[in-house]
Amino acid sequence: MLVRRRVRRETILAPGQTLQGRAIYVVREPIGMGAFALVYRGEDTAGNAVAIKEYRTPVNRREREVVSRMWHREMETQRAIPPHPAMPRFVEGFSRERRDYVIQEYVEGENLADILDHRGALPQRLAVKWGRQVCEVAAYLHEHGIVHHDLKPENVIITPNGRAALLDLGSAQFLDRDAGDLHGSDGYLAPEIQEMAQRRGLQAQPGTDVFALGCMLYEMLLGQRPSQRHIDGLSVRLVGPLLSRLNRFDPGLVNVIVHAISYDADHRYQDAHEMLEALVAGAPAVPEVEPRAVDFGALRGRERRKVTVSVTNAGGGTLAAEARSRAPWLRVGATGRQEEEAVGLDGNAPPLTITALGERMPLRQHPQKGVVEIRCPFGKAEVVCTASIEAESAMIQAYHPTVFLRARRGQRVRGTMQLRNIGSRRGQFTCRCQDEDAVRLEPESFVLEPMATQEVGVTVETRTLPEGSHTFSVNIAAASGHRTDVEVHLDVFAGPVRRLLHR
Amino acid sequence: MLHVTAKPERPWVRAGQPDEGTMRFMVDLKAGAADGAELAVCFVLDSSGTMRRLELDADDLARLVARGQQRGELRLVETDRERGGAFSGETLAEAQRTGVKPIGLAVQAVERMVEAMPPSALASVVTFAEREAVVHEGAAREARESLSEALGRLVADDTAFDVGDGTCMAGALGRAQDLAADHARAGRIARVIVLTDGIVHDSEETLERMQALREAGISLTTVGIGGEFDEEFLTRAADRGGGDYYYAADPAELAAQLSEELKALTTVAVRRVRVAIQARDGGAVGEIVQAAPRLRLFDEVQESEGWHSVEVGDIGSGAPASVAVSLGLPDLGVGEHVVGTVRATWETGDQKEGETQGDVTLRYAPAEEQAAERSPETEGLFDRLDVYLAEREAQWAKEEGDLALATRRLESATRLLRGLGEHELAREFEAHIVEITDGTPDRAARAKRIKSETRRLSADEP
Repeated sequence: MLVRRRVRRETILAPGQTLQGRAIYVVREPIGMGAFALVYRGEDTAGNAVAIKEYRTPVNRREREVVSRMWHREMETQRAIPPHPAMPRFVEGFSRERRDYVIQEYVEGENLADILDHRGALPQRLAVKWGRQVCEVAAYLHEHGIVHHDLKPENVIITPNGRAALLDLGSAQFLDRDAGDLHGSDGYLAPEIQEMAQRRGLQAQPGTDVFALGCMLYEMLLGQRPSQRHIDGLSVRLVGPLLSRLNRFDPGLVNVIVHAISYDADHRYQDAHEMLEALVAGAPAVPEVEPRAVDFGALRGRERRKVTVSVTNAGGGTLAAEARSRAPWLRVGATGRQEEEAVGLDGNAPPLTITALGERMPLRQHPQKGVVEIRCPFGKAEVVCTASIEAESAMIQAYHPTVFLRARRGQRVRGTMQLRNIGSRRGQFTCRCQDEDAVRLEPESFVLEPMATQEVGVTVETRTLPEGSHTFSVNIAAASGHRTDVEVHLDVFAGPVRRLLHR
Repeated sequence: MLHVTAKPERPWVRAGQPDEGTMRFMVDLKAGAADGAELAVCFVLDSSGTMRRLELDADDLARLVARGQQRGELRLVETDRERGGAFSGETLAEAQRTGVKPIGLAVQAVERMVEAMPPSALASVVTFAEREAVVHEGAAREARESLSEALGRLVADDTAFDVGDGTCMAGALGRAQDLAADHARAGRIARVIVLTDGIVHDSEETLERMQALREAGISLTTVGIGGEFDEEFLTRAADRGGGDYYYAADPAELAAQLSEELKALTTVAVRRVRVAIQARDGGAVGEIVQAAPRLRLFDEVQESEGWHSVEVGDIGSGAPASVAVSLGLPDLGVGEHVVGTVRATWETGDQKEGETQGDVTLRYAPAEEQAAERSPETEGLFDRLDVYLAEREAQWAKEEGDLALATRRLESATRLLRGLGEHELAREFEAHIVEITDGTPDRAARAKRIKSETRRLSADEP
């Protein structure tokens, strides 16, 4: 027996009801209600999350037959398609209590339609990235002879790692087969569907998916879906809002969309594969990075740790980006190149390394967060890095890794270094500079308790120094072995001597 | 014993017409003589702060404000969110004489109903605010004086028990269930009647408790008291509890409504009636709605082996019940055909179980026959049902922010009401449509009356 409870106009399966197919599924809560089916989140007996799709049983005979055909067709198409990483895995389908069910892998994430509802128009980089990802799945379906026929934001889930997954093969059709009935949603229906319905000669064509993909890209860019009234009336006003904002959007991308939503199916891309090729060639580049979070762990003193991250182009064209560290303790580098604050990236899979520098970590013992940004004209990606300093018996660290000084030639100039023992024990520390003639340190030796601070004076005599920039390295070492360097940067100038007149 | 008959909305359907694949049927359930079982009613009385608020109608309030200002006995309090005020002195005394407190109204209703109950019937009262307390337990007529005293103390807020300041109903329903279950075991007809403004802090737990009551075979009726309450919650609660929902603006109206309820309770013939419907192969069961003695959407439907089963509750000898069911029809040839089966099960006072089953038949007419007229037997019944469904649809549409749909539904309900001759209720609907389209706030009393009256439309069946 199945118990159904009322939620407004629907009676839906009560939480805890069980359905038996090859396995037993426990119904949890409803996650979607469409015209032809309801979807619940559920679990199988092993505790795996599943999506339970329950087809409606309309009371009208003709509608009931239509829905029944949809279920049979979904079963057929699900079985015909090999698994794809951007589609939920099909588990099984069965009928219980005169209702038809499809069990699929549950895809965690947020519905693209909800994202559009909340945010309105999306940044171009997200429209390109998600549009391309959906186009890739549609191309995969077309390769296997299947037309999705209900491509729309409601059927796209954005997973927690930011990738688009395509759901719902309930309206899918086999290519060129006499469909009997075609379904879709207003705002995404190609004009020829209405014409085919009038002729009563419905045949699934990949061009209708291409049109819907174009409409989705249009909606992501403009924040509003195209008007089905304009589409059915073949109105020139359809593309108006897009073309009037050409200065905001990449022309290559606009060209792909305009081509995809052409009213004449012969002028459209013939299938999603052809559209994908056009997107890859003409859309702007969008950097994507994996992983998007790196934990370097605890660094010991001056230790440096390096990781390699994968940068790819999730958009079109060729990626020409800059990777830049947004934290003083992070450096970026490409293979065979020195680590720097910023590095240029070229090509669609450029190598990128990120290095955490222990000696530049801030004077705190708790984990620090820093960001490496990969930016190109139409998009950016970020790698969030965390690291901490492993406390040794006595560890010295400078508040500022460089001391900047400026003096007229012949003058003596003085600055200070702020040092702190970030170790776990009391320690004796010694300061030394290689250029002892020019640089004097005061005190040269001191004892510090854990987390205590010491100011060390740096005095530089400029009489023997020529005009220009000079860099001295000061080394501070603990008796236990830990050490760090502070750079003293001095600009020596020789301006005219000014006499100050007092009136 | 229960007699079950099913009447179609139209006398026949055209054969071979796929678009005519549905038909609504009215399944009537008529019970025999009352089983004579004794009655046990547990009143659950809200005594929270909102029930103790003095309520004045708009005219009285305007008059008292003017007097308070003249006498310097009105202190206005204005914040950025609301305006209010406090009377003092003679104006306060006058306001107390003029206004009513919902708790007073509720206690009057309980007293009148207890007065009208047969001598052997038992009445218990559980009250609640933050906590619950049993005010009186199982009083037969001889002990009713003490019940009256207890209720008087409750109104005066002079009781020995402390129920706190919040509004948590679930615990009180638990106590009521315990009391009612004891009485039901003793063979009595047990009923819980909740009198509240419906503004509770634990609505989900309360609805779960109501579900538990129904599962224990105890029906629950909700009565909305006063000018400010959550009528939508009380409507849902009545649906969940398998009982009725009443709204009353004054003691006389309330007493009249509760006497109806009492009459239904004292003539109960069969209990825990369930109706199950199965469509013939190739057909389908659609929406099932209780159409009499009150209109009600079933909160729960059980499905097993093609049977769709709902709990109708107790049926009285003088108040037959009806269930409207929508059936998807199979494609059949010309002639009289069985398109479904209906089964009713019930219990009697002596714990015996009964069951009856019958066919749902329909004539399939030749395609050339004229469009089917309505069956004279069900004329008007489905229109009343449609008014109720349209009101529910409008409410859901309002909750979802779709005011255009809400307006369309109310307009179609208004047209049906005019056709039924329910002009007064039609005017209330029209005024409500104006409130929605103008964006003016709903007049609370109108919304409550619409919800309460549309549920009772079936009582005025032709």
